[in-house]
Amino acid sequence: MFPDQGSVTADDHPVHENPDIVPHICFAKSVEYAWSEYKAQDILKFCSLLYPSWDADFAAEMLGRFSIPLKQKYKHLSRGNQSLLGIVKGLASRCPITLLDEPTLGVDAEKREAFYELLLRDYSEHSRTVILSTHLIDESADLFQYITLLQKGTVTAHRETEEFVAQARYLQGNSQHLGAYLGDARVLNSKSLGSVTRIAWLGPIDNEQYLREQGIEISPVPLQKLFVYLTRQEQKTSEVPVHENIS
Amino acid sequence: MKTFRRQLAFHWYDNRKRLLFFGAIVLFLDFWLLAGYGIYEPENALPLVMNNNFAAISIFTVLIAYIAAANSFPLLMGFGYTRKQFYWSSLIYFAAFSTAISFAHTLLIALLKLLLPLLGFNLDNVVVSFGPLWYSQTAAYFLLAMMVFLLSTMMYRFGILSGAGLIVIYILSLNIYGTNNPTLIDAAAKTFVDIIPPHYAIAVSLGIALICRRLYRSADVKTS
Repeated sequence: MFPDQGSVTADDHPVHENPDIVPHICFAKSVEYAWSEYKAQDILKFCSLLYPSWDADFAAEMLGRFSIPLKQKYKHLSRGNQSLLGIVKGLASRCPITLLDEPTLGVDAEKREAFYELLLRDYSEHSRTVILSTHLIDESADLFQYITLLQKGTVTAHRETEEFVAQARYLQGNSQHLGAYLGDARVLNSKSLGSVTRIAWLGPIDNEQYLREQGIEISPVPLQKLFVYLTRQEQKTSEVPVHENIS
Repeated sequence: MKTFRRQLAFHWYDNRKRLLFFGAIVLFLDFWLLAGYGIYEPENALPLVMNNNFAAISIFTVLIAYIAAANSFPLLMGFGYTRKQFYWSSLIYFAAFSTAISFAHTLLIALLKLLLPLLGFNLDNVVVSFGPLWYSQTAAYFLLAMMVFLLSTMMYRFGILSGAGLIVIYILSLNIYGTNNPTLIDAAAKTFVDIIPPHYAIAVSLGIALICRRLYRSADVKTS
């Protein structure tokens, strides 16, 4: 892939076709079409030959935990095992920059947990930059130090996880008390059931103490929900004609 | 340098099983030819083996050159290597392979020339000149590898049609050049490899290498 605009740099050096940089970057995809005709054991052998810092012991440990059949061709592996083989490549490569693209696609819950454990343990022992893209946001929320929100190819947010999560909170309580807020542009989402309303509020809450005294419960918004709300809000914003503003 | 060594090790690992199978089949065919046909026409035994091996090695060269362009390229890109590194490592691999396989073949022919008379074969005045045979074969296999590399790269980048078009041009060109040119290795020349003298073959190979370099500079890696 060639860039049509912008640039990608690592340590201020351009990445594209840079022989000093690309060996330090491992991009592990959930599906590797070029591996189709090779057995899993051959792919691992390629990894050991081609990655200068390949950790064969760690790879063997992961293979044991993930129970990947080594003698099967990649194209005959299950969808989950294909993803897991990508994970083995990504983690055992020990590249300073590791990109894991949807690493848990098709992986069952038990092995996903094993992956999260291994990733955290490995990161604590061999600190490096791991960029992980996923749709299972809540499940992997504990892994992230930074969160980047991509919408239609544009980075719309890039913050530390705590800061990202802290930007929005649920307000839940009597509909009469919260009704006044419903028209505010900072409401990401609202739901009412009987006399109880819950709204997801984006931004700081000035009168938090007062609201609590009114019986309003204030709680964090789960990361995945926040992603959904922000994405929807962005869609709404982009659907508004340019001469109008949401206020 | 380490990067090149790693890539060459990759190419070797990728093809070593194929090479072993291929070698075993070729040797089996050689013995079969000698035992089944050579004993009736002993004076033709050695050319028969040479032709058989030349054809077999050519087929194998086509195979590895195709695999390099169609499969090894996206594979190595996925392991953090640049297009330039892939290109140079492939070139070196083809050169090393051509040199090694033609050396092995020449050695086999030289050994057979020594051994067959001991087994009662009358080889007449078959002359095996080790150096020229090795060199000419190296040039022939290298040219073949580069031609298939170019063809496969065209097919990978621009689709089957462009590759098929190139094959048609190649076949038509053979009719033009093939008529009046003395053949180098095989009397029944059917490819450029048979027609072009070794030093020109090397020059043509390098020309093709330049075209391949241009093609790989902007080659997309297919992901499906």
